[in-house]
Amino acid sequence: MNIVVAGFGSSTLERRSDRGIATFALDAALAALADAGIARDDVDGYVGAPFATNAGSPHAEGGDEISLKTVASLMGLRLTWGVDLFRRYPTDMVTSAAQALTAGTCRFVLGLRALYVAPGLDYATSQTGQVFGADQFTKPYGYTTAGARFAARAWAYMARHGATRDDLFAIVDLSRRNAALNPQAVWRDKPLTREAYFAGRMIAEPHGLFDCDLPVCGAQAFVMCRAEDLPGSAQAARVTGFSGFARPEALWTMSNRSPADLTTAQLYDGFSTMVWEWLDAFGITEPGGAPGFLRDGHAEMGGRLPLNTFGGALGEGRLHGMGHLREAYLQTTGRAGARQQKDGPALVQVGPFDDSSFVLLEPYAHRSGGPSASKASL
Amino acid sequence: MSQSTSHIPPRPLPVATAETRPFWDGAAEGALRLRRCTHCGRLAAPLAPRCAGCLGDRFTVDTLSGRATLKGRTVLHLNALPGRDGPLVIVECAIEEDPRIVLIALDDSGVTNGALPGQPLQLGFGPDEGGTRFAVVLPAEGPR
Ligand SMILES: [Zn+2]
Repeated sequence: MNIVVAGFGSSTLERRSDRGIATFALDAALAALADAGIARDDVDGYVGAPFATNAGSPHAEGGDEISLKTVASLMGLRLTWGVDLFRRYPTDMVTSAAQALTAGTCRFVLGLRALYVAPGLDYATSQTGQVFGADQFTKPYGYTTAGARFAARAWAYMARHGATRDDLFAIVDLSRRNAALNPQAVWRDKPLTREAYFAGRMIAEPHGLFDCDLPVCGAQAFVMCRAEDLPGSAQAARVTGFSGFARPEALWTMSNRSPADLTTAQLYDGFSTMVWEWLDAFGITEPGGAPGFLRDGHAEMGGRLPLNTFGGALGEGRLHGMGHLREAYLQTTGRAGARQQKDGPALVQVGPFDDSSFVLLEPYAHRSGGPSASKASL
Repeated sequence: MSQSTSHIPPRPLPVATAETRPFWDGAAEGALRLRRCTHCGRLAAPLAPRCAGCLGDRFTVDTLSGRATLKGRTVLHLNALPGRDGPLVIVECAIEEDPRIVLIALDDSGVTNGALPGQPLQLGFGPDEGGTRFAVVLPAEGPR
């Protein structure tokens, strides 16, 4: 496979805004096109995954969600192919775009995800008159609120492996320190002391306030194309693997890599404890070994496997994994600035333990056919 | 008949379907009931359209022991269910007859305070709330 991410763009990330979600979406889209060096009329493919996940979300088009139909109309896109992936993640967006490009369906795919905090709503509630489908067994118990189901799983993990809230603080602390080097992170100027962490109110035990990512108004977007179509000004990251959580080994088979080859990992951290899942599940750590891995500093920049080098969602803000994908792109194109780690395969994992998907990005030697370009040819 | 139409009950009320009705009908009688596949004998989760093992679609309805083990637990400090005072103790219960089936319940009695994963529990159903009885972890009653 000869597919690259050719550019990335971000809107500003704001805790509240008087501007609507579409403005953030178009800011990100135009930034991505400029970064890739293409024009609006070059875009003939689109992939989105609009979904507002808060229990109390109104799911209003142009309110807290924005779909292909609206983006294409507002931008005047003329698409050969476009799709919104229902309740999927940025990693799945990359996979779908890669498949459309490999099939020759289109030349330049715009990928976009936008999130928004609508004012005046209680998002953290299970209050509703009636519940249908799966909700009838969860919502009347508050189980869908504030990540209660992730908290319940984290409680069992901690009890089984002897992890403590100091192990959670290690994750949040790493996120805040990394976010300090990310100019757009909402928590960039807000280091968090252990004392302040423990003073944060409890949300869903063991998660306190600072174990939860911060909802933001913001959007991020990417451009993907075949390597031969890469514009001269663009910086490319090669897509060398993808898979879903039920067959994680397919990521390594496809990329001809192993977890030992990783130079960075961007692991989904909507709640702090979620980063443990795939450190253990990919065998990077022994079962139950993830908290110790973090505590011993192996996830630090320059460590054995630098983790969430942009600050994660806990440091940058809740973009449902777009920030993780963007950071992997920046790392593999050598554009991560003060956060830059060494060259090599960058893992992106997005989604909960029972629904994740993965993408592997690798450096792409720009037209020169250098060592990193030849290594990962599929 | 004097019920106000604007009244929102503190807990959302399930809208049952043919698949989930045996569970809620059992709940109304205080009994844990699940469907059992007549072909291979496996229990079906309340929402399952077919047996997860053999994909059969013929079931009998079994009344189960209510015995379960604690799989996960959290104390939710947000006011997720208005009308209930204090934090909610939410537990994941793996039922004894097939621990692959996990039911969510509230622990209002504190029986899971200080518990560890795998602790035995007794599942039951709470008082009538708007026509539905929801799953609860029953308080310990001493040696059985
Ligand atoms: Zn069966």
